[in-house]
Amino acid sequence: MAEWILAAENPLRACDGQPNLATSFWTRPGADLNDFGRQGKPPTHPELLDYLAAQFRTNGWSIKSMHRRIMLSRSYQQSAARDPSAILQDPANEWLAGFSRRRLDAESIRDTLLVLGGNLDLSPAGAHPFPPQHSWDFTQHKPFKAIYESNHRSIYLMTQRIQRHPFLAIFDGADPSTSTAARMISTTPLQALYLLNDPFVHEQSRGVAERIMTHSSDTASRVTFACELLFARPPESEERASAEDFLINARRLLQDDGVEDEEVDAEAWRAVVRSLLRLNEFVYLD
Amino acid sequence: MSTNFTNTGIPRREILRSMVGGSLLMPGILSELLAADVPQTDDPLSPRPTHFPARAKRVIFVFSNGGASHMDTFDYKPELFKADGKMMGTGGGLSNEHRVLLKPLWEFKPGGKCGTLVSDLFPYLRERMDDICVIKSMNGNDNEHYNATLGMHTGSFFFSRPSIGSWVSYGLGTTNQNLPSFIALAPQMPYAGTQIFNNDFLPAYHQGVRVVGGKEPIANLNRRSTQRGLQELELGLADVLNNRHLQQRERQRSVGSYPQFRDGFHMQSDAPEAFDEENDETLAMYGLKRGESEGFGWQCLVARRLAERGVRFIELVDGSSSNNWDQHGNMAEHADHAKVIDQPLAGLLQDLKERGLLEDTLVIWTTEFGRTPGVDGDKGRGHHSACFSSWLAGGGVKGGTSYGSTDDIGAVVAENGVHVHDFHATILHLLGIDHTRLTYRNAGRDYRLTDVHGHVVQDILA
Repeated sequence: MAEWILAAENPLRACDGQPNLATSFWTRPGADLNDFGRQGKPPTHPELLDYLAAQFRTNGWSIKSMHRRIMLSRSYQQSAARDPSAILQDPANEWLAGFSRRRLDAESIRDTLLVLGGNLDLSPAGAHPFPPQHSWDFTQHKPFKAIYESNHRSIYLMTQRIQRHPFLAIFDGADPSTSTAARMISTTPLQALYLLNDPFVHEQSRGVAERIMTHSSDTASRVTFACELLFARPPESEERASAEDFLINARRLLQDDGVEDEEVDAEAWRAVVRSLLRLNEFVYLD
Repeated sequence: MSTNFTNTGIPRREILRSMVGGSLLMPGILSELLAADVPQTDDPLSPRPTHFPARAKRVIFVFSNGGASHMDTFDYKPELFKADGKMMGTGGGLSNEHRVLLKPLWEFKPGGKCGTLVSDLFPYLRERMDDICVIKSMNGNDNEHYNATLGMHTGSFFFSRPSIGSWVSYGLGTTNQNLPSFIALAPQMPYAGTQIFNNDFLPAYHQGVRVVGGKEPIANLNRRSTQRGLQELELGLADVLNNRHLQQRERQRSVGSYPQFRDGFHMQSDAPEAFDEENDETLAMYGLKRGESEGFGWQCLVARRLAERGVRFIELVDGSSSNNWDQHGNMAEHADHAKVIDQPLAGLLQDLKERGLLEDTLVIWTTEFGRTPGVDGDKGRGHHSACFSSWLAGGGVKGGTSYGSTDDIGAVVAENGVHVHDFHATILHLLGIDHTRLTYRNAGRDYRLTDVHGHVVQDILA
């Protein structure tokens, strides 16, 4: 049986890990994530999975080369805007006529905010600042619970088995005490409150606004730059008009409120950025 | 205008209002958001049919940290008074070693018309015994704080699992879409931390929203922008751009997920009702002074207001992992902890009853475990999961009764034991849910709050 499992013509072994790999790119995988056996649904593209699995093995089980192969495929590079007839025939997009629209996961949202705010720390993350071992006096009455702030990528955040990082908990982060095959996507009022008021969001907005203001002193080119920075596309004319209207109103409001002249523009731009960070387009990929 | 401002310039009272107010803990658009977010399925929080007619529509779950003694509160043991200082059988508890027995420090007196015996630790609650069913034969699997706390909340004594509040939210949804279905009034954290109101593998809609009281009752509730008008403008711009984005993709809606990250704006400030609308008599019932927004009395009052507004599951955490009923050294300190909750809990029951809410609200008081009949430390008692007391009141419960019993000294269950799983099964039953049929598929199998255990305690049902 061992020989049968590992035989060159049997892609089963490689299949086991492979759907998870594919899933990191497509929200709709070719197979059920957790159940490869009889409890799971049969994959929609068994030949494709077999092919990818065989490639995975041929390429020395290299995850990186598998990523590259998938991302360079035509299927992966499709837009989420599908043909109406494709939507009609395959509402769940199981046949991958387009990209399945997806929300950024918790870590991606945080990392993106850091990148945009110009605050992502790319230096090696190093060890967490755990207290020295001789000072440990943790008990069940006084459990070890720590959150270490950091501007490194979210993957470097300290993970505790007994509690989720508060940010990751708000945006459907994985349960740290068990394995998680697929993230759920929920929309909750705590998320809205986070995007409205959390100091982290405000700090990154400030960073983005500074970048925009440094880029140019001209409003039109600032709007263009902002849109390109956040959404990787130029603004449409109506969007441009909305943003410019907003700036006029915001400046007036701030002036009426007695905000110092040199602060008015900066504050208005921070407000623009905060608005843009609350858009669907920011957290959803087409 | 009130003079106690927070650092963000919002009157403290206004924040309080937003917390306790009817429609504003969540934006009114929530149901719309959820509907848009999960196409092809129902709103995950919409009310769901029960398996059979429900006796209670909502739950107020009070949890006392640390392990409250049974023989000093609701389980009268005359033999233990007589046996003070003697060595008798096993003392029970952590090691089950023979210990010198310790008599309870408080006298017992009958309460209400039913005459249920309650110790002098709970003079106010004693007067409400006609509404209460005491279970004297509770038992759990674990003598450690963390595990016992986790077990009482999730049915699992070892691994993180969804909280009972999340299960109830998942099973029943909620009738008020403007408020979360599960709210934990937890100014301080119990032993198992956030795990006690965690949705775990259930969808995040069923997560317990933690309310701490004080200046910022919910995380990020206070406006960070200095300018209220400016925030309104920001939301306006986001609306315009979001709608445009949505229109362009209208055709795709059948497959897309489009939550509108909109305001929560209202959550921050306005509220239709004020804390001040409670009259002095009501406040006095809870032992509250006007303007108080902290402490257990406040938790109880807010619990009633939330129950009134249709919140499905409200948890009240009494104490924390460092300040609680865990009296290893000196049982006399139980008096301090009882004083904190006695009058507010009695007030809560009275208030609910006067408003006609007790009929379909299930009020539960429970703890981690009981305490040993034998002495621990100088004059204290150890952990004791072999038996302890809890009580139920309201929706569908036979008030003025007791169920189950322990032996002469409160060391072991004598008859009609009620395990934590049975307790959970009974709570779900009162809510109209068959605990064996409330399941969620996770990691390849169907999970239940009661795992593969649990029997409904039929005898306490009215």
